[in-house]
Amino acid sequence: MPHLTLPISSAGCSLDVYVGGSDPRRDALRVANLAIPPLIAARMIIDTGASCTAIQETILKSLGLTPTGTSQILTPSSKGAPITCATYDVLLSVYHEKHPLVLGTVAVIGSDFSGQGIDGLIGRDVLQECLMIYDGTAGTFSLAF
Amino acid sequence: MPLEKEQETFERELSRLLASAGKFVLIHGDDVTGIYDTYPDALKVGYERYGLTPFFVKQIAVVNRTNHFTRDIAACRT
Repeated sequence: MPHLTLPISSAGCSLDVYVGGSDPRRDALRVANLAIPPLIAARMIIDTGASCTAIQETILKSLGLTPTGTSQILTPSSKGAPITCATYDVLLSVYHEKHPLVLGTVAVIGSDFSGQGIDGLIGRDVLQECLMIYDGTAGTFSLAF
Repeated sequence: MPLEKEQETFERELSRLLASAGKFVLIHGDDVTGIYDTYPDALKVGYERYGLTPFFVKQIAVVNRTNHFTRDIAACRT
């Protein structure tokens, strides 16, 4: 099983992922003879308290993406009243030199992480494809997929 | 507000759509285009039929699924 072992940073379990338009969107661009934007690297942290993945909206817009859905979310400041957010369909790839994890169609929430030193949160929707081990004593975490 | 019309269509048609709870509906404007087993299936038809113009995909559910974040993210509201 391919795996990565990375240091736990002050931000937590952070790793770079590559973000692009979803497989169906990339197919549509090919059919229309339009250029497919290259994948963009995003610094994410793994957040087991996030039920889905959220990405800096400016990254999504720089890929030319527009919303294709909505989702209701609850956060500590929403005080029990769900907020309706736009969702985008993306491809997510976790780097591995031989066997990258590629999820071709994932619905993510667009959000603003400005000033936080990260570009987004990897939620449990992506973690359900992985085995994660948090080794606090060694100061590392491992992700197998 | 993006997809406002499609969201209204979804809410208007929800009682009829509930017969297909768990599946994914594809909506374009006022039109319910189809119901599909998976999210990628619905997206695929959406892009094939509407190209890069806006369309809306949503899972049909009796109770609207809510995503939880213990971190206080700045949600980009629709």
